[in-house]
Amino acid sequence: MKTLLIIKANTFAWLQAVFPDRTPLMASVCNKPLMEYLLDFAIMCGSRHIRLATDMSPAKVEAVFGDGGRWGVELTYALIRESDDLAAVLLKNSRYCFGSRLLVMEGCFFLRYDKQRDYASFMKTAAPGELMSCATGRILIHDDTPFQPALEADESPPPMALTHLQSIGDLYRQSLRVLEHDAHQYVLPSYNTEGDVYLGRNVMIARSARIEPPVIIGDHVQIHKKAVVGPNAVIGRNVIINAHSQVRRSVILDKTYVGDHLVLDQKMVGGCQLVDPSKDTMVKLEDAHLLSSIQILQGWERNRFQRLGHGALAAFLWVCLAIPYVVLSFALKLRGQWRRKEETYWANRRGRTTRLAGVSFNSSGLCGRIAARLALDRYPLLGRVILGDLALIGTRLLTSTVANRAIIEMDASYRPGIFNYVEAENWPVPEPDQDIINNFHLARQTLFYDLVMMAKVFLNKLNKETALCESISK
Amino acid sequence: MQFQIQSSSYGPIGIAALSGRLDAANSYQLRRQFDRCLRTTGKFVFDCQDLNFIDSSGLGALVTCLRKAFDAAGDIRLAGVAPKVRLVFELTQAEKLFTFFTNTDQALASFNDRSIKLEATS
Repeated sequence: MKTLLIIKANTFAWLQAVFPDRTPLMASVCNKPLMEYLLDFAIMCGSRHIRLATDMSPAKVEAVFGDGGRWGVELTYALIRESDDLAAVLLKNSRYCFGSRLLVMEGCFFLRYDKQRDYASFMKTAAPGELMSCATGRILIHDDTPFQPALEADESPPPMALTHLQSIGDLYRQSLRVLEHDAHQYVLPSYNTEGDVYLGRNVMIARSARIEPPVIIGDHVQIHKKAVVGPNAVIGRNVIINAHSQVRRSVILDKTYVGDHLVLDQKMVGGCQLVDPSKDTMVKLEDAHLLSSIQILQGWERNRFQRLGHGALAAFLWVCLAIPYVVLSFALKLRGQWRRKEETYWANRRGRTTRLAGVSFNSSGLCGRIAARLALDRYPLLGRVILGDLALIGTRLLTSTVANRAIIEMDASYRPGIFNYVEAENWPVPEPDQDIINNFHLARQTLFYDLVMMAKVFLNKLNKETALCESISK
Repeated sequence: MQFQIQSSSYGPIGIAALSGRLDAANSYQLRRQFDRCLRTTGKFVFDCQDLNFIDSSGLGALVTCLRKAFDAAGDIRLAGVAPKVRLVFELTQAEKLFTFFTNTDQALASFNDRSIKLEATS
């Protein structure tokens, strides 16, 4: 059995109107994206091939779900038009859809199921056609092979139901409903240490703070002194609840700061947006004393000492390599082997871009070999390190594409450097593993560590033959 | 914002029409004008029908004004507060300090109602 998820932007217009900076496809119920509930259900129904067909950019979804490997399925993505109906989507994905039983989930809804029940047997024998629907979506089985009904009437179908989602109020109510009544039916992204308390990773709770179940608290959350969280509170990832504040019957979305002595009762908060779901009123507060959005700073951006260290080392290299750069670039230019190259890159996780002008040259010939071993292809970028825009050594630079932005947002450790840690390794690292290696070193880095790694980079360059040198090849 | 003093059967009442945003940029102006009017009366109605936004500075200014009005044996009644502005009062629990009315007339009339006065100051 295969699954096709059809999700269109217009079904999430209500979410975009309130939280325009949040990805509709990643809208969550109890800190779990709606999309993941559907994925879990498809897997329980026996699907091993799942396709998301959407008219939105799937980049952020792709960054989280990837190829579905974490779930043990093959997840693929397809773009459709807003005007495409089911027949058109099936036709456009005909190679995927036809020839096997297909579970189609179309629209924007919350799907209620029970993880302990067997859906696979039911789906095998269910007659093709619409299984269930709600105002904003439906689930159906499409089967172009002859259907053979089961000889004996099966047991009643396992519990499943659709709940429409067409307002912030619906999303809010669904979140609290799952938390209050149905949490045991789903796999929620937290540890359930004691009854009705779900805690994420790296949660800091002050001793005088009070947690009243049921609550679900996401990763990297700080709850300060005498704050009261719960009952019925959903706290997203990267949230700070300051001292003496109370959060009950409320949903706080990711990256939100809640100031001190505030009371959130039956509210939904995302960044600086405060919503009263019962009255459908909303206010945007740009106020650090009340609510604000949290921007996650990298260790690199916080640590001025390290930036100074990198800048000083870059200045040292800039001085040492100035004469070789002038001489060798002149020689390579005469031979026509020296080319300028410009590209725009993501400079940090907050979405700032930077345009970098680098060079590329062929390292055949004596001048090219010496230039390659002295890493002169990176020389034009040293100024950016001195200015503090880039690290001397860090993760690889990612070009400013939407897909790369999504990768950066999901990756906690984007510190673009003109050299990267992979270059310090003694063995060739295949492309897919490069980010893993970079992140491994980044998690351990100190200024001294970076100095050692830079020394290794230059030693490697002295020993390695490279055909083409590019300062900004990625 | 505009302050005016209006006579009523319960004595002079200051009416302040707040409009637009009440934030750090103009909360000082509110305090200053309020202090000036406080010499004439301690009773005020703040007409918030055209108030679109309030932040912590604006709220701070309102609470300061309220405290001064209490000191002068008066009160501040808020009229026509929009739901989204009311959310900020709710968030900060400032709604417990103020008495809200649908419109200015009701707020003015409330100064004749002793029960509201007692409730607000208790």
